[in-house]
Amino acid sequence: MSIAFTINGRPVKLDVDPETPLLWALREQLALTGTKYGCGIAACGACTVHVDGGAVRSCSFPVSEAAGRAVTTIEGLSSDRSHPLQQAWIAHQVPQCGYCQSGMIMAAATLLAEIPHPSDADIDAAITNLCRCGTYQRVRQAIHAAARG
Amino acid sequence: MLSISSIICQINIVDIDTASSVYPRRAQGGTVGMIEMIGAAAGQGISRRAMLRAGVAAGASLLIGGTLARAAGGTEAVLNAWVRISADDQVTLITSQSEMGQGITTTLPAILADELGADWGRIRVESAPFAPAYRHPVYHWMFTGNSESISALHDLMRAMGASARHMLIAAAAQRLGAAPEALIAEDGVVRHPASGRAASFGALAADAEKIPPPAVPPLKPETARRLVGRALPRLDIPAKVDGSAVFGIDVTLPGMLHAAVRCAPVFGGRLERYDAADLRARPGVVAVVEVPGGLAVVGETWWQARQALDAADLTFSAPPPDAADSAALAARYREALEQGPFRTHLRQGDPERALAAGRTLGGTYALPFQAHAALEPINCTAHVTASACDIFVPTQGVELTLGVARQVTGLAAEDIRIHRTLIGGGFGRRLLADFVKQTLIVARAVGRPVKLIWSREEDFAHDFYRPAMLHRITASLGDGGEITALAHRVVSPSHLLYVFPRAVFPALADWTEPAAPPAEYDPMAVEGVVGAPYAVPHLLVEQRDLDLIVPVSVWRTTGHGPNNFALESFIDEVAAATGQDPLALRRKLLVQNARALRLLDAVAERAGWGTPLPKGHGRGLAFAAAFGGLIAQVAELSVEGRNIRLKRITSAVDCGRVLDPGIAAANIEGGIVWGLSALRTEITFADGRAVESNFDGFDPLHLREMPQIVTHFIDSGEKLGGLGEIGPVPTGAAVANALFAATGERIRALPLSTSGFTIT
Repeated sequence: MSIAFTINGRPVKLDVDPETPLLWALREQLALTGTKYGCGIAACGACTVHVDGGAVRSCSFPVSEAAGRAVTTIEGLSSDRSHPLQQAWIAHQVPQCGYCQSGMIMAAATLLAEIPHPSDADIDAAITNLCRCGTYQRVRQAIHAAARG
Repeated sequence: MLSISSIICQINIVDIDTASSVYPRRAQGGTVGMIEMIGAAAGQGISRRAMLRAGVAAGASLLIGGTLARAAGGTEAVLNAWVRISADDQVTLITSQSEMGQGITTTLPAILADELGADWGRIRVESAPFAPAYRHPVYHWMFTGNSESISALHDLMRAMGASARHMLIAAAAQRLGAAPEALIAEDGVVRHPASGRAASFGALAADAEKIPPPAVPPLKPETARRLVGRALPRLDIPAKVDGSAVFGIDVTLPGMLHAAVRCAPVFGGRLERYDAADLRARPGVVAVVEVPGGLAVVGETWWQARQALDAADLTFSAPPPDAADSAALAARYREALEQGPFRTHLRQGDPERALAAGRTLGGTYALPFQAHAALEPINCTAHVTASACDIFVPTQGVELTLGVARQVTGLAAEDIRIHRTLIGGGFGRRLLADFVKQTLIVARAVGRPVKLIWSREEDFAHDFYRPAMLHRITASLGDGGEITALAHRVVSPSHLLYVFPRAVFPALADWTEPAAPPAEYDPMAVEGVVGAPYAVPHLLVEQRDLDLIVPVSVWRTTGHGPNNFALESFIDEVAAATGQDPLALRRKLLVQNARALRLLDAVAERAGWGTPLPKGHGRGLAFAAAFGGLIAQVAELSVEGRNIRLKRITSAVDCGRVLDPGIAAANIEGGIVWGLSALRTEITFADGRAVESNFDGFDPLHLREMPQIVTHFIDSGEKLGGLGEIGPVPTGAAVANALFAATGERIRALPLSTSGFTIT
């Protein structure tokens, strides 16, 4: 069965088991490895991508549900690290090992799209991604900085 | 195919002498920190000059091997094992250490570049292959861990940069007809200020390569160092915000297959039965390969391989009679604490007599097993042929990986190439090479490149856990509340069974098997207790070793974290029992330690120690000497019912000198989160296996639970210490002591849920 959707603005058609998690379709069929496998149960958020602008945990999201929709991954957030969050992430030197950061940034991008000037409580509620290196304080600072523009 | 060449060194392995017998010899004297012991043993007689020559000579031998990246275009000059310069001014700096987010691949090259006079904006950093030149200068073993990269390599990097600069200046002196003393090297150019003439590093590199390296490289004065001491933007960060960073799990090779693996969930278990034909018939499955204790399914994609494995009917052996079980393990620890026999790590004065004389106070403290749970699942990619082997792996343990590869493939070291990738969290887990062994077995069987990835469940089931530890501390107290004697008993297995340099076990045919270090080189279970800076006249520190069926190994903070929880909780108990302020008591115990007093005062001031707090709020203090540095930390929290709200963690840190304030602060911030997570995570066991299997049952701290973190550094100018692990060392006790201040309840066992508390 063929599943068609747009990925980072580009139309694609995949012949995969429709139950394949979007995460693995992205990584293994489309070679978009910026989206990470962390837990497989939607607990850690390392696999966060946008589907029609909303943040989803792609490890637990069947690729079939992306059919006809627009999927954006970290590779598609900007073509040149120019997204305000990417800029703020660099300015605040947020990542440590960096493995969770694609998901962190994608979750933050949805937050800013919904709430352009989030409060600390908004950030607490929206950013539930796990970071084992402990970059949370800088994640918060960078989101505020990106919101300030 | 993704480009991995940018991060992977193409240098072949030229030389190996893993069988070298230099390490370690028996140290003289009492038990001190592992570093000092081994330094005293293996480093004996090795002067800094000799070390420098070793570095240069190793570079030269790499050159003789003729495989340095010169092959890429033939225009690169190799000035030593750490510095290459191309004719078009590309300066390549080699880093021996693995990047796992600690910033080491920025700071070490910055030390080199500073001495070299390179243009920081134009340098390129390359990850070293295995070679003797890249071994830890004291342990003679190539690895990244124990917070030692800076302390072990700072002087060497400086000297190697200075050596290369000397060679460039000598070449320029010939070229420009000027005295070397009249020349300066900076921003990638050697200048002769008097005449205004100059030559770029690239133009000089080929001549410089022929200049003999100086016996004693001339170091720049401290004041001339421009990069060291500055917060540099980390070189690895840009690729980590756009998805282009290549971790091990992202490696892609032409023709690559994907392997999912499942081993017996019961420790020591075996795979007894499975239906290979059924597995091979499943979609995408290419091969089924038995690995020790389990099975790998190789597929066209990892998802297909995992699906097949999940659906397969695998029969594993039944749990043995001594199968891991948390209640039984706890009972064994308690019995060991009561019965011994104990090994004495430290005896000072007459502790038994002192303890029999006065008023005594005692406490028992229990720490649980912990998982590393790095966010990047365990993985490795390999291609094994009859004549060569390429391994692409996120590893802290390069030399162990190489040795395991030699054992599994039977290939010579020079035919094995280890390509390090970025590491998505190490924390000690990736010092090991059990997963490399699995991957090589599978790759050899299928004859094609294979990327093997563990599921998160496999990671929790087959971690090498931080061992549980059980402590009993007893003190005798003087009339003024002073501690006159302290006896500290620790029940703990060795933390070093899987990571102690394998070269010291010549009979060990499989380097993934556990091997206990000689007892006198294994003080990790008591580190921070032995070596605590407190002035107590009579001391006794003893350990009861345990041999567990649960595999255990080093975990960020090693023994320091759990040991500090026990000791610093106990000091707080003494303060409470004797009516002393916890800060005042520690100041008394450290009265002769100016460095420590400065930190205590700094943290007290910044944390507002002693200022009034609302009811239900509390502050707690803890102090640690660990990883070559000192830290004082104050936790502030509030408690409502059994719910804890973390408010602020304030630290004062002295690591000798901060080389990069930004990276240093990030290490402490992240470390504290690690320490806070350890207050509520644990691994438990039932029916021979780990109970927690994913992040639903093992729940590290989230952003919403974060306190504010404030860190203050004080440069004492003393010996450099490490920052990767010191941050979380006092965190457990600081929080537990704050909880006591807020509630009057003393926490003597972790996780906090043992006492019914939750961090919210």
